Amino acid sequence: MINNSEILKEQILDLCKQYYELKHKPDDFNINKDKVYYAGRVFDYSEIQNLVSASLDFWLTAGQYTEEFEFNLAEFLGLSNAITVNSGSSANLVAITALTSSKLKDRRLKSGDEVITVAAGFPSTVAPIVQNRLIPVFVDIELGTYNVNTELVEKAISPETKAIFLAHTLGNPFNLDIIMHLAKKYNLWLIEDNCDALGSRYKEKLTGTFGDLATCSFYPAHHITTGEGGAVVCEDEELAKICKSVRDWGRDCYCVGGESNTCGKRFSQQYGTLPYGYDHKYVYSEIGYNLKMTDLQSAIGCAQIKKLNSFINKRINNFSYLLSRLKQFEDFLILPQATEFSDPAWFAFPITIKNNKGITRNQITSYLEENRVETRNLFSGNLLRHPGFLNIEHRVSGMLTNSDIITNDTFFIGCYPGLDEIRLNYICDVFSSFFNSL
Amino acid sequence: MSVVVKSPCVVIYLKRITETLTIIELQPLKRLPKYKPGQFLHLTLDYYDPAKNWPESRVFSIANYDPEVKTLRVIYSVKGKYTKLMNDNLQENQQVWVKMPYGDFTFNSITDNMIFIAGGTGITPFLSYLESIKYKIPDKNIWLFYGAKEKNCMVGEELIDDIVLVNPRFKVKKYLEYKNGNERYEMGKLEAEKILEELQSIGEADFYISGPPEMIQYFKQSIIDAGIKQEFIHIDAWE
Repeated sequence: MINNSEILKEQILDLCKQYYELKHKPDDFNINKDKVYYAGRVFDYSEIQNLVSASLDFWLTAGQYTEEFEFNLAEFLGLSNAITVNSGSSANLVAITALTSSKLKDRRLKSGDEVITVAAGFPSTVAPIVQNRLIPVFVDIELGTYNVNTELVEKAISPETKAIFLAHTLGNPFNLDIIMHLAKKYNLWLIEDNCDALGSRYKEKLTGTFGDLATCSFYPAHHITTGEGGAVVCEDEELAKICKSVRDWGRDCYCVGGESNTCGKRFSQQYGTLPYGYDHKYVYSEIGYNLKMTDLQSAIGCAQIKKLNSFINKRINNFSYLLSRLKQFEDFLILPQATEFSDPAWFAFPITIKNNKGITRNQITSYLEENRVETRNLFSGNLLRHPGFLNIEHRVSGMLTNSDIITNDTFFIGCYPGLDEIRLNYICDVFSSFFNSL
Repeated sequence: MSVVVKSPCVVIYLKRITETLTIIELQPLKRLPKYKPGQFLHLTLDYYDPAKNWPESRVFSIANYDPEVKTLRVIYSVKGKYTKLMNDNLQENQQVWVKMPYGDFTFNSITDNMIFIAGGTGITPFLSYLESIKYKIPDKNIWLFYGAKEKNCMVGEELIDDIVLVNPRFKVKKYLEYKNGNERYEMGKLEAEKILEELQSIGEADFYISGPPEMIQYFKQSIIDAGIKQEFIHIDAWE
């Protein structure tokens, strides 16, 4: 029998739909006024309804929507575990911190161990390495794919190297055949920073399913959004348990908020030097954080993940459109190139200015911005040139020549699902007018 | 621990084996995640409102293996207030709620030999595992030592006997506390000394123990005393 609160809830949710139509339904593109963003939230009334429904439930912390979102995310990836966190950066922090757990015995990462990564990317791939007193070892990238130059990785491995932590840059998978081979050969952990690549595939297998751990981001620029949010995903049950613990204050207990004795042995275990039977809810096995996602965020994620496949297809199609239209400027521009055997769900469309053509990145990005086409640099460029990273303990294997080139000459434009053909066409027309004006 | 999901379930089958031992089968009304043999669920008789706290529930090993999670089997005996409540009230077509899967008693053995020691309804995680390997070519040697009070309490016997017939690497010894003259069973309680003696020649093995707490403690300690490292001993213990 439906009670009054349920009837009222139905009415509120129906009003949400009406509100969406009036307030948020995308307008047609006005070519003389509107900006073409590189990314943005793509949503309809269902995200608002879910968010309001979660608000009315007022559970607030991880609850039914988090449960559903984690289930659907794990199922999408074909993995057993998805552990939601409050951002992609937190996911990276949880993933690398989990590998320092004493539960991993001889394989745990210890202070001073080396982690292979790249300097040209987003800082939160590297920051958690440093925060865990591990030593990042930087390897150069390739132009075009913007991924690690896999030919250089083996040379960078030393006896101290214990892990590889790499992003699939802007959704483009790195060469997983080579990296998986090296991880196996040298018994290295592999973390895939999959924050920009949810839905990308390498040899038809989804990225984020190759490594020991992988991370996702649900910031609004990403493939799906929960506002702030992220996740660590993996198959291994022990790693999943450690990740949950690191996320949840380091506690050993894995009960979700408001629950007790899920393990069925709350008062009958021996931990450390605690008295026998010390309440499991307050036993701490890791040095942890509190990085949980709220149920309100997950509620948005539940609606978003239903759209994920269509978002991926839209990104792929938008990317193809831009590539076909911008090919005519290849004399001036290095256009993006998918890694061999991969099908990227592109995060964005990266472009590098060829260095002998008499134009600079700032010339072209200024022109695009003046004409309301939003651009971004490829994140940090060479991270080692940033104030916060000048004095970190690190090792560089070889030279970071291409990392420096992208610091100076690379930018990206959007290919996100909110771009329709009119907007894509407009972007390409602005490029044309720039090159015609030279 | 996999992603955990809560779902209402309908009791589609209920069979009382004895006054205190019951088998139920549940049909989930929502998609549930895949589980690994040996994992457990929480079952509550109360209605669960996601906006409220999870009601009082009881932990049960999942006694079957269904990759599609269309059916969940639970075997329970009355051990306390909650199982008594279940015994008194559960009926076919009744709706209950479960949350699952939990647990790391999942048979990831380090060695090539797996020793299963089951007391009473402690057989349930092993039944799930045996069902999962029933039609597969085994890559491990398995010894099952299974003790029950009496013949009709020996649940899952048909499955066990079927696997013995097709799988030469699976060996079973069944013990009845109250023997009825049947030669297929050993008489008396499971004894650690006898089991360890029988296993002397097999080399390294992983021990899996499931049953009443005092039985688990007895076997765990006996196995440790026999010089076997803790990392080879896996227990399915709840309060």
